[in-house]
Amino acid sequence: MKSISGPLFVLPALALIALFVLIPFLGVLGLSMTNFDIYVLASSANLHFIGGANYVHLFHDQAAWQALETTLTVVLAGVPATLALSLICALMIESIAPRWRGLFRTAFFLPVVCSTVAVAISWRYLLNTHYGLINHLLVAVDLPALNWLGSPTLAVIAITVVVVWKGFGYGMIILAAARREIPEELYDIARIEGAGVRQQLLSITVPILAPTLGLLALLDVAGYWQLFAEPYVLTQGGPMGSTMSLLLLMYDRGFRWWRWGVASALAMILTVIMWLFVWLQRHTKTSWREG
Amino acid sequence: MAVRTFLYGSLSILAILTLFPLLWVTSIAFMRSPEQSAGTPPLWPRHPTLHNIVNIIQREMLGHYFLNSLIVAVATTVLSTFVAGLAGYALAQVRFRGRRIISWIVLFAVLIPSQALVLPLFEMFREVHLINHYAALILPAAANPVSIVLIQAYMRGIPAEILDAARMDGAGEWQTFFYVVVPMMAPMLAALAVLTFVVSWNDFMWPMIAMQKASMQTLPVALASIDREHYQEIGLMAAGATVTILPMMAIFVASQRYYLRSVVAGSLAD
Amino acid sequence: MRLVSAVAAGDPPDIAQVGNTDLATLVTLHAVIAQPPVAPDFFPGALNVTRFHGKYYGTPWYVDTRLLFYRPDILRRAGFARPARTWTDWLKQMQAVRRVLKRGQYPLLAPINEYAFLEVLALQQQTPVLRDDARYGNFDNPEFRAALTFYKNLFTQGLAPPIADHQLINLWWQMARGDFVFYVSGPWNIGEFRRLLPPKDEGLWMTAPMPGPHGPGASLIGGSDFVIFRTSTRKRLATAFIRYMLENRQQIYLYKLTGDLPARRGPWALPPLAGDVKLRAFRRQLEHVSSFEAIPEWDEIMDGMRRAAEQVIIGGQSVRAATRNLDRKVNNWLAARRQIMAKDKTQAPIRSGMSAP
Repeated sequence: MKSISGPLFVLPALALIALFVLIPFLGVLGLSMTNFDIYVLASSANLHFIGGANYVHLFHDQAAWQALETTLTVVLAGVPATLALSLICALMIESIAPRWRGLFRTAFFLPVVCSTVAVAISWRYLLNTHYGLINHLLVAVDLPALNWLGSPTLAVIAITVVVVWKGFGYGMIILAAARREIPEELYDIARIEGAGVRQQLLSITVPILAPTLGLLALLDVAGYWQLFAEPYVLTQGGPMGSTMSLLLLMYDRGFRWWRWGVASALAMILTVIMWLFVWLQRHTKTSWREG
Repeated sequence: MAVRTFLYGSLSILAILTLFPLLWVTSIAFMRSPEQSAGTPPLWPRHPTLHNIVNIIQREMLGHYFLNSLIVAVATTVLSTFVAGLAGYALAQVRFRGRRIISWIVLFAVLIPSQALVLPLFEMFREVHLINHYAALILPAAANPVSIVLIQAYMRGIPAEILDAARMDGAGEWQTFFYVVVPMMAPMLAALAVLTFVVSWNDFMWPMIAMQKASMQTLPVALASIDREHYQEIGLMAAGATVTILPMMAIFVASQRYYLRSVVAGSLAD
Repeated sequence: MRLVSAVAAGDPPDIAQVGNTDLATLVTLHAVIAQPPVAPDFFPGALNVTRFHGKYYGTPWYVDTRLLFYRPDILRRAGFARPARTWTDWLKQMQAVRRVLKRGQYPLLAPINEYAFLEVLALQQQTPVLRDDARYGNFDNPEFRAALTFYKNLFTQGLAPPIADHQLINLWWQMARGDFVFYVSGPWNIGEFRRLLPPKDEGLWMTAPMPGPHGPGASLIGGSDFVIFRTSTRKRLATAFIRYMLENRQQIYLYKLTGDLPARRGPWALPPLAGDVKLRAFRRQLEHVSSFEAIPEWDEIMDGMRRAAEQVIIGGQSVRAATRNLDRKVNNWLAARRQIMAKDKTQAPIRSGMSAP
């Protein structure tokens, strides 16, 4: 069927994507090679093309490296933790009576739908050194109270915990659905052959769920890589810049100090590293299949 | 038997731990100042009060921001779902020149993290004087390549014969779309609509940048800026968090069926 | 910053009220016009920050400064009738106060994610923290190092907890409970203490001027100034409006509404300002305020200073290394400013006419 309706139907979407994704993307690329700052805002005569100077600047900028390290830490610690928690909850939910499943699914999924700003406020009070319930419990069992949001190391851990808590329900739903797709006969055969619960898990469940896990890993990486609201509310990037994520740094540079050139270079770096993650995921997926 | 006890036991513990931060903040929202502030507060308010909730809604005008969020989320959802529905269908089931290239463009757009684009977006909306207008939030959010890809994948699963039959009966493309295609992808559209609504409702960074005027802020943005000023008033902020969270939880519990299906469909479509 | 983008987008309003850094930015953008002072009795410090190359570009509307909020009863229990006037005595007071406090309570609250307190300490020195028309950082000088050392000792000696302000739960309740005895803050907290504590607790807190290195110390001057935009077509009306807003009646009405302090001395002689004991320290402090050169990069530089201090307090960096690092960063941030100044001599005095205290 050929008609003009095809292009016509696609046009609105294409126009929106061109206007609000593709052109801005070229804009970021362009801005990242200029000196755009407060003086350029004053007079566009001050605008210059400066090539890769912003990237060189960032290469020597300790704060940028720290932001990269922080964001990577949250991704590398948070994604496996999220996947593990998602998988455990999904498998447990699928093993109980169907009429109870909905209840637990709802419980685990609720954090996913809540506003990050609102839940971060709640966590900030939970984690409070003198007031928070977490330290109260630690002290109750004779453990030392911890300065959760005041110590650089603990603050990154705390942010990771919040991110995982907020995110794992999503993977749980998907893994539970994927688990339901596995035919029960496979497990029956395994049981007849004398395989225990652990063997069933390792030789049936995990291999079959592997592609789903891979996809979830990618979604989580893309999400956590854009960490912003949690540190914005919980720590404002502190203490000592330890929880400053790449996006928070970009926001500070761009919208607090009007250094758009450098901020755009940060945005480009963020994007390219995300592409690297995607490429890595595709790559490992095919090598698994071949292997 | 032991296995079952273990399963239900650990699931219950995990569920309580998961819900705790949400319940705790709600509980604090209903406490009086002395209870909130003197050391670690009790789990449950001894003398429940609406004082904080009334304060956050009246003094900080949370209702106003709620309305902003609602307008933006509804408009974004309607526009985004309609546009993605049209495009996803056309890319999957209508043959035309350039279809492959357009599919590639959409896929490329999926790979660009939207939050990395806020600087030029701000510049663009400033040029056309749309900063502080709802359009600044609605239009970029309506450019939703992920939804297009999902609908495209969903529509590919539908046999072309059904559509051809409709067209043979003399229905025009628009009629085919509205009377045949839309009912067919209704579950998918509903699911995506709920998903889009929640994402729009909770969006934070771009709304904070695009809505510089306080009266135009959305709920999370307003909550964050109230927080910057009143972080030391735990009761007030707990009430703010509660008022922000509760509607979303209600919507989720009510629309769970569609929502969870969309999450699943969305990921397994790949 | 909204104003800055409005200017860049070409549709600024006729009038606006702006803070000091924004004023410097707007002057840099040539966006606002000079206006002679509309009254003879402004606090000199407040008027001074609106002066750029010899002309006044803003009319101070309300003022803000930082000083001590403290617990008189606990201070008395530690054996002192009033807060100290010098840094050395203040340190001694805090050490004595600590002995009458319980575990988990501190003589001082100085949130490490706020820079105002450290800015005040730096301001009390003779040497400015930027040099050569604010072209370069000058933090690595003996006086600022002394200020930073004093600041650092407050934390390393356990007189103040190294926490950020968002780690507090309820500042006023905590003050009333004795968690903190001193707190450096601004005028809005007078209203907040009264709003959030029961009336019977009014006697639990008091205000006092800042101590200085060698005697009563200077503090910073903040607040808000009216500006008139170059693009305005109603400049006469704008001036008349500003004149009206600065009359005693309106200044006092603003105070009653928001707690913002009048920028003119006149309203301070009238009720309710005249009779309020908690305001007396502010009245005195406002005669003793100062500020650094206002430049567009100022907030960024102060944020950098705060981070450098964090490196010293939490990170264990030496004061010397921190100030050197900070100067390097500041020089970097000021590179664009130096270029602009070298290119365009007429733009050169992008700075306010501040002198040392």
